[in-house]
Amino acid sequence: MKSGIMSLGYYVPRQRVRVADIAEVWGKRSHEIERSLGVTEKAVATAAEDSLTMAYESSNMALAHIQTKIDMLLFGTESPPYAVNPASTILGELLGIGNQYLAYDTQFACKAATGALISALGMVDSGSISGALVVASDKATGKPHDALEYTAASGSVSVVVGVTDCIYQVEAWESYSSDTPDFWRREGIKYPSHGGRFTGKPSYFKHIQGSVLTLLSKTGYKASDFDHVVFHMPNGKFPVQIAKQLGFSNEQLYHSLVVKELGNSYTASALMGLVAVSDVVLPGKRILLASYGSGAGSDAFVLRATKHITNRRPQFNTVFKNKIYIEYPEYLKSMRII
Amino acid sequence: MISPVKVWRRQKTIRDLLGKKGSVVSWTRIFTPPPQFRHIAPYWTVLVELTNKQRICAQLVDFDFHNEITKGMKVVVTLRKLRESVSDDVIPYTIACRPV
Amino acid sequence: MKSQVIGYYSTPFGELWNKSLFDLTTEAVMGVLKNSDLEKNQIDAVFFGNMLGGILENNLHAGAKIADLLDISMPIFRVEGACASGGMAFHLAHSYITSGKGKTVLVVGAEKMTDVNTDQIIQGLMSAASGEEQECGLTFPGLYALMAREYLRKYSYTREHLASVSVKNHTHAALNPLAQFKNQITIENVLTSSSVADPLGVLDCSPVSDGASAVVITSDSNLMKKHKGITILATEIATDSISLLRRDSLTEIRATQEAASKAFSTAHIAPQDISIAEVHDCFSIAELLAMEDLGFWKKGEAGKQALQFESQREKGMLTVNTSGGLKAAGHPVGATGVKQIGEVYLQLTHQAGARQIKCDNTTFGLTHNVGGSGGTAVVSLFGV
Repeated sequence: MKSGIMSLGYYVPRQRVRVADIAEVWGKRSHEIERSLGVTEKAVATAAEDSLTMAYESSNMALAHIQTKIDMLLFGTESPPYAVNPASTILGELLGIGNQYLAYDTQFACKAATGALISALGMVDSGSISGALVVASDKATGKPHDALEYTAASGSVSVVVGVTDCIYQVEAWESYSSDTPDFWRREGIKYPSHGGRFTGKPSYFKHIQGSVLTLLSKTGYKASDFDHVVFHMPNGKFPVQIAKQLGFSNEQLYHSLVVKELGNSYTASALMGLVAVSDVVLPGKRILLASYGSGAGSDAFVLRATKHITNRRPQFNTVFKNKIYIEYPEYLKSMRII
Repeated sequence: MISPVKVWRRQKTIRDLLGKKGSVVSWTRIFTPPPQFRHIAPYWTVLVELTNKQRICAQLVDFDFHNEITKGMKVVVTLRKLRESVSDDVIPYTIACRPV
Repeated sequence: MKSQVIGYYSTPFGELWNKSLFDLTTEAVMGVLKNSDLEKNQIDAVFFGNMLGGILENNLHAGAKIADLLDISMPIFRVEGACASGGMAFHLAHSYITSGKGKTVLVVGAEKMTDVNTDQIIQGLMSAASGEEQECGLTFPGLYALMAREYLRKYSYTREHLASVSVKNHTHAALNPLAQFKNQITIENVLTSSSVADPLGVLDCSPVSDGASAVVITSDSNLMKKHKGITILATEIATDSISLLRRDSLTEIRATQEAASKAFSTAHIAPQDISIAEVHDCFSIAELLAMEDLGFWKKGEAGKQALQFESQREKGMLTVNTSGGLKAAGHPVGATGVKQIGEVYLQLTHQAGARQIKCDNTTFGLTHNVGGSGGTAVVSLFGV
C-alpha cells in the first residue's frame, strides 16, 4: 500500500477521577476494583466539552504541521453530539477545509474510527483522494454503579491519511466481523447495556484473535517481528491477556498500555495507545495494532515507522503530568448526570 | 428554541477566532448566571486582547484555579459548548480561551 | 425656549407583588397629574421609558396600552435605551417641547421585574449587551466587574473603596420613604456579602425592583408661573459602542464624558457649580467612574474620595444620590432616569424632607443616567 499515516493528533482532558473515589461511593473496596480492572484513574471531559470539541482539539494538532488537502473527513464515535446530524461536517467547517470533501460519521462501538481508517487508506491508495482526516472521539458515559463506570473515559485521536512524508506506512490490514451482542445501546436510552462476562472470551478475545491471526498468517509475520503491539483497552487486564495469548511479551505491550491512568476512551482507545508508542518507536520498526468494537468486530494493522517519526514525536507524556483530580460530584456534573 | 439560522451565521466568526492567541486584560468569576449557563456556573469570564489588537470575551477553561489569573496571561482561543441547549435544539458551539 | 419640570410623582420602589407594570404606570401618571394640579387634557404628549416589557411579558406597543388604560389619545411614545430609558424619555420629551410640537409633556418611566425568576431577569437585562457578550455567559454584574477589576488594579484601590459607595447610598436612603432599602450597612457588610461577579458582591449591586416615576415638563409660561418648578438648563445624550470590547477604556465611560461636556457647554456652567447630583450607580464601581467622567473628581481619585464619604449629605459642596441612588432606592430600570430628575426637582424646590440639602436660587443640579455598560449616557442639568 502506498498510503500511510501522515500525522497524529490527540486530546486528553485534564480532569481525572480516581477509581478509588468511585468505589467509595458504592461501598466497594477500592484496591480490589483497581486490581481486578487494572485501572487506577480515568480522564473525564468537562461539562463544556463533548466529542466534537475534543475532536477539534485533536484534529487541530494533527493538521498543525502538515500541508495536505483534506478530501475526506470521517468521524467515528459512540457519543455523537446529534443522533441525526453529521459531526464530521461541523468539524470540517470549524477546521476551515472548504466544501469540496466527502464526510460521514461512523459508529461501530469502539472500532468506529479504525474501520473508517481502513476506508480512508483504500481511497488514498486508489488515487480517488489525496488526503483524509479520520477522527476518533468519545466522551463515554458509564451508568452509575455499573462496572463500566470505573473505566468509561474521554479522549480523541485524529489521524491524517495520505502519501507524503508519512510517519507510518500501513503494510497490511485485516478485519474480522460478526454479530455478537456483547455491548449495545438502544435509541433514546441514556446508558449502554452489556453482557457481563460475555464481553470477554466470545467477544473481545475471539474477534481480536480473528483479525490478528489472519493478518499474521497473510503477511507471514510472527509476534517477534514487532517492536510494539497495541490493543483496544477496555480495562488494564484484557490487553495483557490477549497479548499473551497471541504470543506477545509484556515489553512489546508496555508503552501502549495507557488505560491504567486514562481509562477507556472507546473509539480513541487503541489509537491513543498508538500515539503513546509513537513517542518511542524507532524508524523502520513494526507495530501491530488491533482494535475491537462490540457488536462485534476487530480491525488489525501492520504499521511500519518511517524515518519521519523521529522529528514528529507527539510528546504524549505530558498527558500524565497535565492533570487535576476531581471528586465524584464534580464528575457527575461533568458528565451532565446531575 | 435557539435559532439554527443564527447558529449557522455565527460559524464563520467562530472559525476565524479559533486558534488565535492573546493576553488577558481583565477577568471576573460569575456566580449568578443566566439560566442557560447554570449547569457550568460558577465560571470565569475573561476579556482578552488578541495579537491583532481585536478584543474578545470568553470563558476561561482548563485553568488551574488554585493559581491566580493575572493581567497579561497568555491564552489561545479554542472550542467549547457553553450555552445549554434544550434537548431538541441545535448545539451552539462557541469559543473559549485556555492558557497557553 | 425656557422649560421647566413642574411636577413629580413616584411610586415606592421595591418588590411590589400586587402591582403590574401598567398598574404602576397608571399610578405614576395619575399621581403626577394630581401633584401638578393638571387635567389629562392639558398634556400634549406622553413619553414612556421602559426596557423589559417586551422581553419579560411580551408587552410592547405601550403607547396604545397607556392610551387604553388612561382613556387618552394624545401622542404616546415608548422609549428604550436599556437602563437609560427614563433619561432618554425625558430628553426626547424636552426636544418635543423645544421643537414646538407641544407645550406640556408628561414623562413616565416604569419597570416590573419581580414577576419572573432572577435568572430570567439576568438574561433579560443582557439584551442591553452585545451578542458576543451574551454568548459567553456574561451578565451585567460581570461586565461591571471587568471594569471594577481594572479600576482597582490601575489605581491600587481595594474592594473597600467600592463598598463605601453602597454604604453612603444606604445612609441617604434611610431618609427616603420611597426607597427599597432603608437599612444602614457597613463596609464589612458589603465585603462579606455573597459573591455575584468577582470582585462585586450582592451589596455592590443595585437590586431587582418594581416601580414607576413621572414628571411633567412644560414651556407654557402660565403653568411655569403657577408652579414652583426647576428650569431645564440642558439635556444631552451620547452613545458609545454597546460592547465593552470596543471601548477605548475599561475605566472610563466616554458616553458620560461626552454627554456631560455637551450639557455643561449648553448650560454655560461647570462641574464645580453642581451641588446636588443623582448619578447612575447600577454597581458601586459605576458611581466611582461617574464621579470622574462627569468631572466632579479627578481621574483615579474617586476611590480615595469615596472612602472619605466626601459626597455624602452635609459633608461637602457636592451631595450625590440623596435618593439612595440605584443601590438603595432601587432600580426599576425604566423608572430610574425619571426618579433621578424627580429627586433633583424635590431638592431644588425644598421638598426633599429629611434628606434636604441647602439650596438657594444659585443651586444647580445634575442627573446622570447610563444604558448598559456605557453604550448610552444622558446628562441633564437643572437650576432654580
